[in-house]
Order: sequence, then C-alpha cells, then structure tokens
Amino acid sequence: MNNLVIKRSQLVEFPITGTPTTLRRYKARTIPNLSRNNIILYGLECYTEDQLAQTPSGEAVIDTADANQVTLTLMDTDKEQFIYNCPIISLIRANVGGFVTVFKPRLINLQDCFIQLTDATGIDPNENVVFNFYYQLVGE
Amino acid sequence: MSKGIISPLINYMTENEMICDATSPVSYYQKTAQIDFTTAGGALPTSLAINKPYYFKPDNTLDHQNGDIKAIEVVSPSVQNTFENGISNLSSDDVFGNVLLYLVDGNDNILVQTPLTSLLGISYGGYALKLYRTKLSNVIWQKCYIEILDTTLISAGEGIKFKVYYDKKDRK
Repeated sequence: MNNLVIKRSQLVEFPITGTPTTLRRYKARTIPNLSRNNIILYGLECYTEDQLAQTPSGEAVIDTADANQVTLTLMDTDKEQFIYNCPIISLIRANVGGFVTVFKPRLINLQDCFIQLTDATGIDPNENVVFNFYYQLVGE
Repeated sequence: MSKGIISPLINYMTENEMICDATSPVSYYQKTAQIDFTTAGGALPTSLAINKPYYFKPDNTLDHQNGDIKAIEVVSPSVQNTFENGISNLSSDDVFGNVLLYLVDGNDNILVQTPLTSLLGISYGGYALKLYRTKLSNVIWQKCYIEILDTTLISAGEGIKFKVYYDKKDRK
C-alpha cells in the first residue's frame, strides 16, 4: 500500500466557460509555472465544492452531485493522451479510500489537457473543475 | 519469509521518493503550528478577510537549513476542538475547504498549494493514517501562509492547528 509523496503541488482550474455543452472540450486556465514543458506529473487529485469552497481566483467549483458527468484527458509532451476520458469522480480522494491517484511519471503538456461533460444537466456556466497536480521539475 | 514481486515502476517511484509505503514511519520529529483568527493584532489581519495571507510565525527548526518537512496534517475538530491557548478549532471538517495552504521556498516560489481538506489524516483499514506526505527540503517557514477563500462558517476567535512532521538535517 503506497502513499504519494508530494514534492510540488499546484491547483489547476478547468473553467466551464459559456453554456455547458456535452462533449465540448474545456481546457485548463493557463498557469505560467506549469507551462514550460518541464513538469513531471505523477499524482492527481480532484476537488468538488465539498473539498474546495471556491477556486483561488474566486470562482465556483463544480457541485459534488455533478462530478459523475465529467471526464478528464491528460496529454504529455509527445501529444499522447495518457489519461483518456477518466471519470473525475474516481480522482476524488474521498471516493477511493483516501488515496491520491498515482501514475507513471510523465512530462505534462497542460495546454492540451481538457475535461469534457458527458452530460451538461445541472452544471452551471463558469463552474470550475479543479485538480491538484502533484509533480516535480525535470532534474529535481 | 518470501519476497513479494515489486514492479519496476513502483521500484522507480519509491527510489525517486515519489511514493512511499503508507505504513512507513513518517519522521523523527513532529511539532505543531497554529494560526489564530483574532482581532488582537500582531502580524495577523485585524479581521477575517478573504484572499489575504495569514503567515506562520517564524520557526527556524522548519526552515530549509535545519529541517526537511516530511508531512503536514491539519488537526480536525473531532480530534481537538479547543487548543491550548483557548482558541477554538473550526466548527467542522467541511470548513477546511474554505482555506488554502501555501508552502514557499527561499526564492518565493510556491512549492505547495492545497486546500486544507487534503491535509486531513484519513485512517485506512484501522491501522494506517494516510497523511499528506511531502519531500520538502527548501521551505522557509515564515514565508508560508494560509489564505481564506470564503469566511462563511469561520469566526474570529477560531484557529487552525497543523501538525508538521519533520527531520532535522543532521539526522536523516
């Protein structure tokens, strides 16, 4: 039974801009220090309003009841989708015995990562899906 | 005793300190740090405010030249509802979702940004407490702070207490 060890962590927001639409791709808000293609991602956690009241920029976080309507796709710097349409509900720590999801370390390409809604019912415009990216820098 | 099969990936991530056995010892030392929301002045804001940093008091045993931070846990009100100085803990675990923790290094880089809900220790299988384990060897404690995102359900006279697990640099 292994536990994640955090070297660096950063909240990443995926805003659902405009009218929520099924299968539309919603990309992450740009974060300068995660946009240099030198980020090795090895752990991930998702938050809904139960774990995070608001985003750091003061916007709403998605309702817990709507978490089963969202999937996440992560892409690495080789443009490979190494996490593909993962339901975010399985990335919420409270749903998986308190474990943080760990995967093979990858160089992340944040600007190509996205979430999709499999059902837009009940999701309000400008809600955010928020993840905590656990990572290290190349060479650390 | 027979040896279990260890996957190369698990082995790699363990050697690079990305993961550890959840039941392994956390640290040699542990201390507490507390931030009170009070109107008594000092370095704190005089009233509860959103998006304002509440800094920790300086503690050089936790600074990078003296200690490595191995884990951080926030003390749940179900564990301790009143602190030693008479300040009350927050009213429930849910309120920790209103607060973010920032851990900062000597170059003012934010190393860790996380809601306090992630710092609640979660017991698993009745024998292991899963903690927010870290490998942080370059933190300046007095630059670290918390930020309130929403003051709803937080009152003056309440506070937040952290358990910080650390190793001294001269004893790994």
